[in-house]
Amino acid sequence: MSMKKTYWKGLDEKDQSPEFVQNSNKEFREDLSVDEFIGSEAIGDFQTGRRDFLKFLGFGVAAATLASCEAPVIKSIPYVNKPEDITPGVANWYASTFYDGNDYGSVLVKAREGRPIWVKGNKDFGLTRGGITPRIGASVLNLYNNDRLRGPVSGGSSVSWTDADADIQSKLKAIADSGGKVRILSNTIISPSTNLVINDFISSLGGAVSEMGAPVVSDSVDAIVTPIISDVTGVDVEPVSASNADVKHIQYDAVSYSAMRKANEESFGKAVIPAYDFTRAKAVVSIDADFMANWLMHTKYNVDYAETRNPEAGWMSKHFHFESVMSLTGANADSRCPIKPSEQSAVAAAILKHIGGKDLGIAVSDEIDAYAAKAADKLKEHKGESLVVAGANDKGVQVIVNAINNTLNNYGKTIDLDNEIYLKQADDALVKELVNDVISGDVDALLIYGANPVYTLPNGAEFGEALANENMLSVSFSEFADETASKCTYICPDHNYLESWNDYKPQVGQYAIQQPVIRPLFDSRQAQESLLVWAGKAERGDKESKTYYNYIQDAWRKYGFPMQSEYLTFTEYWNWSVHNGSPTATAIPSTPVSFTDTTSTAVFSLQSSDAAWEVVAYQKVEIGEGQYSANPWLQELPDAITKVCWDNFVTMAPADCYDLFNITGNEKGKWDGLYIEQETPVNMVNVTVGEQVLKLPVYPLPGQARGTIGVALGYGRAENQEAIGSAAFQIKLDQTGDYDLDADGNKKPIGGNAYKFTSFENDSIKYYADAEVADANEKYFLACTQTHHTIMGRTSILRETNLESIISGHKEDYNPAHELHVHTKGHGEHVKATDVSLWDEHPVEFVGHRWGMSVDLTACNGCGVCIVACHSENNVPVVGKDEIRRARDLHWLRMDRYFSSIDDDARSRWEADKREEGNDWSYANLEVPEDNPSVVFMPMMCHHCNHAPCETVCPVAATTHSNEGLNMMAYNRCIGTRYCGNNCPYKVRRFNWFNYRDYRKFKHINNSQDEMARMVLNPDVTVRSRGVMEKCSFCVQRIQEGKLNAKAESRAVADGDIVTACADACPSGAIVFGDWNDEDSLVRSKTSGDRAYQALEEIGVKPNLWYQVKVRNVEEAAEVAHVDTADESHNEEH
Amino acid sequence: MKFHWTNRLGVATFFTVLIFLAVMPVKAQDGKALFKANCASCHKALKNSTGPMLQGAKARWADADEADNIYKWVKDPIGLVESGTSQYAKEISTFSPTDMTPQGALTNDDIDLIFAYVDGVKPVEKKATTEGASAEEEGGAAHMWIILLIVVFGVVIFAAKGVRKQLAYVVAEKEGVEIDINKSVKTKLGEWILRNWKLTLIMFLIAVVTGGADLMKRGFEVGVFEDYQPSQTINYSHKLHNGEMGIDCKYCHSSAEKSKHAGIPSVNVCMNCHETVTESEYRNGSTDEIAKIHNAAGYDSETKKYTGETSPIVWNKAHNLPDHVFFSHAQHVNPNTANIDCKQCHGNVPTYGLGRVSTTEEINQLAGTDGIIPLTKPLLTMGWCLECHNEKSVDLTKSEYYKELHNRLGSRPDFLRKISEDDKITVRELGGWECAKCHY
Repeated sequence: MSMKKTYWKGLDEKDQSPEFVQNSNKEFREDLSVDEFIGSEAIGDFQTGRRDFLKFLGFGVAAATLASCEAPVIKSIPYVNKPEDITPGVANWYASTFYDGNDYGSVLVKAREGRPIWVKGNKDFGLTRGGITPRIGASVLNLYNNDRLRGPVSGGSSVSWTDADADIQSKLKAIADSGGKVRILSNTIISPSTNLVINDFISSLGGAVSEMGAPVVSDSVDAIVTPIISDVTGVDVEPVSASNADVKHIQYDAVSYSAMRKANEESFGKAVIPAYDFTRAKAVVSIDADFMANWLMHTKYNVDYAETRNPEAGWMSKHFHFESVMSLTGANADSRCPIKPSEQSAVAAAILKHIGGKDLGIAVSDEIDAYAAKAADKLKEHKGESLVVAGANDKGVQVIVNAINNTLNNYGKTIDLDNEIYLKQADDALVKELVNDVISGDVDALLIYGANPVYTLPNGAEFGEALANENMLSVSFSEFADETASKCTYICPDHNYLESWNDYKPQVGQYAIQQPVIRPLFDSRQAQESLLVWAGKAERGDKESKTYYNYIQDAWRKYGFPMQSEYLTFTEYWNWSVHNGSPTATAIPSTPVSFTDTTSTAVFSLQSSDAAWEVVAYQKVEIGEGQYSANPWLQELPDAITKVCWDNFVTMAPADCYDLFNITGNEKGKWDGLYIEQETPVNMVNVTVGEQVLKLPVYPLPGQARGTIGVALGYGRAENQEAIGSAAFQIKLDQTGDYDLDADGNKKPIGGNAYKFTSFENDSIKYYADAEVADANEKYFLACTQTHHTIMGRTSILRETNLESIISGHKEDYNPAHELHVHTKGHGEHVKATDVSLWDEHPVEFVGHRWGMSVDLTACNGCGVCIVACHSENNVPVVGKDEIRRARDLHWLRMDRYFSSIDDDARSRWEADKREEGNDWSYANLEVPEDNPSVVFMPMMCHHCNHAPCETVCPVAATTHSNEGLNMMAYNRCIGTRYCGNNCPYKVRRFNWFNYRDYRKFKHINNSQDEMARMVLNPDVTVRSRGVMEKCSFCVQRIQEGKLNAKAESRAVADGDIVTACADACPSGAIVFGDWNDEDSLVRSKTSGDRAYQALEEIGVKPNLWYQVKVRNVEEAAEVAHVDTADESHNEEH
Repeated sequence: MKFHWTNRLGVATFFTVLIFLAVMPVKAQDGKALFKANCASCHKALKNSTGPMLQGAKARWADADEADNIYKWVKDPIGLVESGTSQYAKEISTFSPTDMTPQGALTNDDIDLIFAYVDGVKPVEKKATTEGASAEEEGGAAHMWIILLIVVFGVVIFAAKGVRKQLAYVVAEKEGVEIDINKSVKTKLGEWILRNWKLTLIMFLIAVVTGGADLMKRGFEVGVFEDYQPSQTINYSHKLHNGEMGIDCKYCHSSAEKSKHAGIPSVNVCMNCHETVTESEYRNGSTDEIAKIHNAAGYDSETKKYTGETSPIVWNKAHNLPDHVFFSHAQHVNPNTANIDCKQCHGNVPTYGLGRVSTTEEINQLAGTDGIIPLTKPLLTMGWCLECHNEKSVDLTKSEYYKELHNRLGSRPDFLRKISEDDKITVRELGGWECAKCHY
C-alpha cells in the first residue's frame, strides 16, 4: 500500500501560512530587517553621506596602504618554566568528572596550553559510557564567566580569606558552644571524601554524624569489604563529642526525587533509588520520565537506550511514553500518549490492571486506556525484560509503578535495588522542615553548598528574606553572588569543577575522580578546604593548595586501595584512577526482593483535577534546573522540541490556542499568534498559580496534552539584578545590544521562574499545579530557528520505516534507489539518479582519503550535544535572540526537528480500510496532525558534495573541492556574494553578518567580546570576520591533525583516529565519521548497508554524508512512511 | 774563521730566537685549548665556579709545601685524598659536594701548560657592546639627516629663486620690457605648459607609467617581511649559539618536530647552560645579557640559588603569518614527514644575531646543499609556499602512511599515471595546493 507522510517543521509550514509561503523560496530574508534597521532610532549613529563615504573610502585605502608598510610587532612570551607535559600547539586531554547535583558524567577535557577549551564524554571509562548533555558540553564556558567571584565577599564587599575564616570560625564555635542550630544545606553529595569532610566539620562542632545521606565511616575491616563509605542511611551513631551542639547536614535537590525513595522504602523496605538497566529492556514504558535528558542518571540511560535502538541487532526496544509536554524522550518514543499530569496515577493504575495486577479503580478515559492496554500487552510479552518508570515526585504513582515492575518480575533484572544509585538523596520533608526553621529564625548558622534555594524553592522569596536575618550566620560557597549567595553573610566562592579535585560515587561500587584542568583563575577556595579549615583540620592553603587533594588521596589509600587487587602500589593505583577518571568498578550481586503491596492505600498528590488548566514545570534539555542560564551557548542552542532560543514560554496545544484566543475555522491560517515569524509575534498569557503570576509568550506545541501548559524551569534567573553572567538578561531587539530595561531601569530576566509554581505537598515537592490561564492581550517576539528553512515539499530528505521491514523486508521496500525519468534517443527510460551527472567525476575514490559521515536517524535522539560540541570546537559566534529572529543563526550544525503525520488523502484511505476490516479505528482519530504527531530529528550539516552546487557559483573560487572529498571554504578569499548559500540544496551555509567580536550589538552575549570568555576559543580554528560565508568543515583541523599524527608515527590513519567534534561528542553513536576509502572503516560499512541513503539523492550532488533510515518499532502501517517511488520519479521529469 | 764562528753563533741565536718565538705562542695556545677542553666546564680562571678558581692554584699548592702533589691531584684527586699523603688535598676536596672528575689523560707538561695559561689570564674590562643596536634608532637618525638636508635644499632653492626673480626684473628694466608683476604663478605655469606641451605630455606619461609600476611593485611588497629583524629584550646571538657552538636548532626550538609551533625556548632551557655560563666571552666577559636570563628565571648567580621570583621574557616575533594561516612545523621538519632542513625557510641562521626573516636570494645561495630547493617568490608569502609545494616531491615508499596511500592509488591507475608523469609526485599532486590544507 502506498502511504505517504507529511513532514512539517512547524504549524506555519503545515498550514502554509502566507508569510511562510512568501519566505519559503528565499535563502536570506534581509529585506524586512533592512526596513526595520532604516526605521530604527539608532539610525542617527550610522548616517554616512555619499561624500563622507568617498572620503572614508579614500582615507581607508591610504591608511591601509600605509599601515601595511609597517610590520606590526607581535609579542611572544614563552613559559619561564615550561611544564614538562605541555607542548605549545599540542592539546592535552584530561579525564575528569562532571557533577552538579543534576547531571553526572565522566568527561574528557581538552586543554590547550593549560586552558580547557572543549569537553566530551569519556567513552572508555566510567559509568556513563560517554553520555553527556549539552549542559556538560557547554560547561567549559562557565569556567570563564566574568561574573565569577574573585574572592570571598561579605556584605557586598571583598574581604580577605584570613578575616573571613577567623570570623566564621569564631561565630561557629560560639553558636556550637551555646547549643545553637548549625545547618549545612547542600545539593546531593555523592563524593565520599566530601562526605568525610562534612563529617569532620560536624564532629568538630560537636554534632552527631547521623543525618540521612551523611556517611558513616567505620575504620574496621568492614570498610575494606564494603564500598568506600558505608551506605547506611538514617542510622544513628554516637556523637563524637558530648557537646550539645545541633549540627546537621540537609541535602536538597531543586528537582527532587524524594517520593521515589519513600515509595521504595514502602515497597521494599529500602529508601533507595535503584539502578535501571535500559540495555536489557525490550519494552519501556515511561510515565513522564524524561530519562534521555533530565531524569536521574540520564547521561547513562541515553547511551544505554541507544544500544537498544539498533535495528541491525534483530530487535529493538518498544517504547511507550505518557506525558503532557513533549519531552526529548517522548519525541523519541515509538508510541506517545499526551496525558494531563493529574492522569498519571490513572495511567499507572490502568497499566497495572492490564498486565494482570490489582484493579485500583481509578478512572481513565477510553483513549488513554487503549494506549495503556497496548503498552501493557508489550510489557506482558517481555516480562523480566521490561521497564516501567515514572517521573512524578509522587509516592502514590511510584508505588503503583513499583507494583507494575514487581508483577512484571523486573527486579533483579532490569531494576537493581542492591546496586542503588546515589543521585538525588534529598528528603523533601527534611528540606521543608529546614526551610521553615530558617524562615521562623530558628537556625543560627546556615552553610549553603551547591544549591540556590532562594531561586529554586517554592517559597524562595520568603526564604530569601529570612536569609537576610542578621542574627543568623549564613555562608554560601557559590561561584557567583547569585540569588541565594548575595543574601548570605559571607560568600566563600568555591572553585569551578575544572579547577577542583574531587571524587564521586554515583552508584554502588562505581567511583570516579574529578581532576583539575586549570590552575584556579581567581582567589577562590574549594568548599571542602573551607570546611576543613573551619573545622580546624587544615591550614588555609594558597592557589596551589593541596589540602583537599591530600585528603582525597588519604581516603583512597585507606579505603579504596585495599579493596582492589589490580595494582600493587598505591601510587600506581591512584595514578591510573586519575588517568582513567575512574577506578575499576565493583558491583555487588543483587538479592531477591520482597515486595509489600501498598497500592490500595497509596496517597496521590496527582489525581483527577477539575481545573481547566494544569501547568507542568518541566526541564528543558538545554537549561535544565537553571544553573547555567547565563551560558550563551546553552541559551543559543535551539530547544530540542520547540527550536526556540533565548526564551521561556508557555507550551500549549494548538487546539487550546484556537479556543483561548477565539480563532475558529479558516481564520486560523490568518492568525498571527500561531505562526512564529520574524515579523509575527506570538500572544502572551498570564499564568496564575495560587498567588504567583507569570506573564509568558505562548508557543503552540503540537503534541501537548489538551488542557495543559508547560513552563520550563531554569528561567527568570537574577530577578534582582544578581551578577550571574552578562548573558543572563534580555537584550533589546535592535542594533544597540543594550539590556532591555524595565520601567525602574532594571535589567529584565529571561523568562519567568517556574519554580514559583511548585509546592510542598505530602512532604514532597510537586512540579505540577492547577492554573488559570488568561490572554494578556500582549504580543511578544520569540526567536525560533525552525522557521528558517523549508524542505520545499521534497520527500526524499527523510526516510522512515518500521522494524519489521528491516528484519523481513527488502531494501527496495523501505529504501529504494532513486530513479529518474530520462529521454534517450526519443524514448523514455528510468535510470538510477546516481548514474546521471552533469559534471565529471571528482577524483576522490581511492585517491588518498575520502572523508565521509554516516548519521543514524534511529540512534539520534536530537539531544543537541553535537551542536554544542560543534559550537565550541569551531568558534561559532553567538549571535543572540534578535539575530536568530532574523534567521541569521550561525550554527554550523543544526538539528532539524520534523513533526509528521499521515497526509489527509492517505489517512482517509487508511481509515476506510480499517473500517472495512471491521477493526477498531478510533486510534486513527488521534491523528489530527498537531494533536499527537510523531517526531524525527535530523542533524543537518554541510554534506560536502562531490558535485557541490555551491562551488560552481562562487565567482572568486572561495569554496572549492579537495581531493579528500571536502568542500573547502577559504574565508579570506570570500567576498560575500552569498551565491553559494542560495545554491545549497541543504541550506547549511551561514553568512557571517557582523564582526561579532567587536560590534556593540553582541557585547553582552558573545564570548569573544569578553576578555575572560575569549579564552575558550579554539586556537586551531579561525575566528571569522564579517562578510564571509561559513559552514561545517568536517572539522578539517582535526583531519589535518590526525593525518599529521599518523605521518609522524609512520603509520596509516586508523579508523576512529579522526572524528569530527559532533561524532566525538555524540552519546548515542549516531554520527560516525571516517575515511570512506578505507575499506575496513566503520563509515564504509555503514554507508554500504541497506539503511543508508543520501538526502536529496536525486539532485545528483553526490554528498559525502549518508543517513541511515529512521526505524520505529511500530506495527501499524499508518505509523510508518513509505516512500512512494512511482510518484517521486515523476516529480523529477525532464 | 772567527767570522764563521760568530756567524754560526749568529745563525744559532737566530734560530733559537726563532724557535722561541714560534714555540712560545704555540704553548700558550695549547694551555688555553687544554683548559677549555678539560677544565672549563667546572672551573673558571678568575672566580669560583663548580670548582674553585684556578688562578694561583699552583702557588697555593706550593704554599702548602705540596707543589708536586698538584699533578697527582689533577690526575687522580680521589686517590690522592685516600692515600692520606696530602693534607692540602683533604682540605680542598670539601669545596664542592661533587668530586672532581679525574683527568688521567693529562701529562705533567699539559698541566703545566694549563696553569701557565690560567695564571696569565687577566680580568677584562667590561664594556657594553653595540652589536645589534636597534634598527629603528638607526633608521630614525637617517630620517633626521634627510629632513635636515631637505630643509637646507629648500632654503637654498628659495633664496636662489628670489635672486633669479630680482635679476629678471633688473634685466627687464634694462631692456625696457614690461613685466606683469601681478601675473599669478598659476597663469605662468599654464603659459609654460602651453608653450612646452610636448614635453609636458611626455613627462606626464613617464610619471604615470613609473608611478604605476612603482605602485604595483609596492603592492606586491605589502605583507612581505623579508629581512625583518625586530629588536629584542635580550641581545641573543644565533651566530654564537648555533654557529660557533654548534647547538642544534631543535635543542632550543624543541617542539618543532612535535607541534605546529617550533617554540621559543622557555627560560628553563636557557638555564640548562646558563646556570654555569654566567659571563659572555663572546661579549668580552659582559654579564649583562645573561643577567637578564637570570633575572627572568629568578636565579642568583652568586649564591647559585633560585629565588622563585620569575618574570617571563617578552620576545618580538620575527616570523609572523596571518591568523588565517595554519602552518605546522611538525608537518615540515619531522623526519617521518617532509623532513625539510630548517635552512629551507630560515636561511643561514648560524650567521644571524637576533632572529630574522631571511630572504629568498640568501636561501637560493644555499641551494643544492641539504636538499634546499631554490625558489623565486618572496619568503613567507603564499606564492612561495605554493611554489615549494609544486617542486617538492613526496616519497610514497617512505612511511607506512604514504605506503597506504600508494596502495590505494593501485586501484586508480589512471590517477597514479597522471600524477607520476614527470617521474615525481609532488606535494601539489597530493593536494598540497588545496585551500583547506592551511586555511580553516
